Amino acid sequence: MLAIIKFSGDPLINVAGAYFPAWLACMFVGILGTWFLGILSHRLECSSVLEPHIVMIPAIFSAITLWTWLLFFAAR
Amino acid sequence: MSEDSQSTQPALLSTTHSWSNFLSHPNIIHFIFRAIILLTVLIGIIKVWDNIQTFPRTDDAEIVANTVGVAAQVGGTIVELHVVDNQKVKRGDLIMTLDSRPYEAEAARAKAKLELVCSEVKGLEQQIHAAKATLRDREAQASYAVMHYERLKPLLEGNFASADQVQQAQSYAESTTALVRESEALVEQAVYNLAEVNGKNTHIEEAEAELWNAELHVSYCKIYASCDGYITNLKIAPGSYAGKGEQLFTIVDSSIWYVLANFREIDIHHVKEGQSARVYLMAKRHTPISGIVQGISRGVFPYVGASRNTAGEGGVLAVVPPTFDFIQLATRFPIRIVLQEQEKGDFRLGGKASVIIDTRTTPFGNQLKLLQEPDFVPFVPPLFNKEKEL
Repeated sequence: MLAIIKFSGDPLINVAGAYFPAWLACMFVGILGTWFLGILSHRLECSSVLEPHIVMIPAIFSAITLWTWLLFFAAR
Repeated sequence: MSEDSQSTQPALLSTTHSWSNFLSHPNIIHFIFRAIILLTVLIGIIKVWDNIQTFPRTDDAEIVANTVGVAAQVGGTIVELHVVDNQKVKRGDLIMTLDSRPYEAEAARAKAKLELVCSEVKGLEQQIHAAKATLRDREAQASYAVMHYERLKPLLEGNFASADQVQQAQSYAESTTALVRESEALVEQAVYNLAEVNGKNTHIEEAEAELWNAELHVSYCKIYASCDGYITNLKIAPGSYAGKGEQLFTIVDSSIWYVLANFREIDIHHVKEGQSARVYLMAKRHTPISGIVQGISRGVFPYVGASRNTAGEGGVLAVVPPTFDFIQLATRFPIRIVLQEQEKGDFRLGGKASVIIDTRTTPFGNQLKLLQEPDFVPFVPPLFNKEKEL
């Protein structure tokens, strides 16, 4: 996923000839990142750190999505 | 080996256990972690919002260029075609030649007519001379007749001349004077027939204009490229008939390329003319091309949906549909961006692009002023010039 973002180089991401907006890719990264953090916290037996889930899960998803966008796609 | 694994495993487990104990314990660390996450989200939202406001962007943009429709100004069969489809042409290149024989014949006829008219004008000039000579002759006769009558008139009192002689002399004087008037009118008529206005003969001018028009028609049989560009949509071959005014193909003007980027009306507040833009062509996505905002559209055709009033019955009454779209979408206005660095891109009219505008500065103000000055040098076909000089 990072490779796709890295080599796309512009706000559009080409996946097999179809062009996707960058924010969609960032959301995908956000979902993967949140999933990964969820698994990690479960493995470390500290899933209570992500409670309350209704707030923290969307917050982690938003943080990853927004900062992925800012790092790779924000105009400077 | 088994002893080793037995000895290391409890150590690892104990490390993990202590970490999980530490993290799972509801203490200040949890609170800090949550606070950091929420703060990261907040800062992320602010920075993304700020970035989008400062650098409005759109994926809905396409490359445009000016197009010149090539049409024959006179009808005729295409006898020579010097270009093929997609060929690059330069301004002034000969594109094709039409059968010019009918127009050459017309030009020859017009030339002969001009010579005839010149000859006729000479005849009319001679008519004026003749009329003037007649006038002078009649003036002399009238002058003599009037003098004769003046001399006879006093002699009537002393009966040195008969009344009949005097009356005869009087009527002759009046007659010759009337003939002078007639000759004067004839001279005037001859001058009018010659039709010279401000030292120029209108008959000759008309014939010259006809010849010029005929020669122009001959010159129209050679069709030249009026701009640098690419021949597009060429689907004809020599032998085809080119009707007058019928568009045969298009030249895509390659001298200047634009991008029309559609921005929502909520995003265009900070966009100003002359601001720099970064354009990513879909065909060449890894090379951003810089551009200048030339202008923002002042109007688009309003969205014709259920919520719009449209004129009906010839515009007399508004037609208001009974339904209403309660979700309103922002209208998008095209922003015209002139592409710089034309050598970097392989531009094609209609190609997709995405655009980011930098609203912080207007670094291209001077270049924009130059871009907005219209080109006042019209294209004049070369043959046209040559004939004019002749």
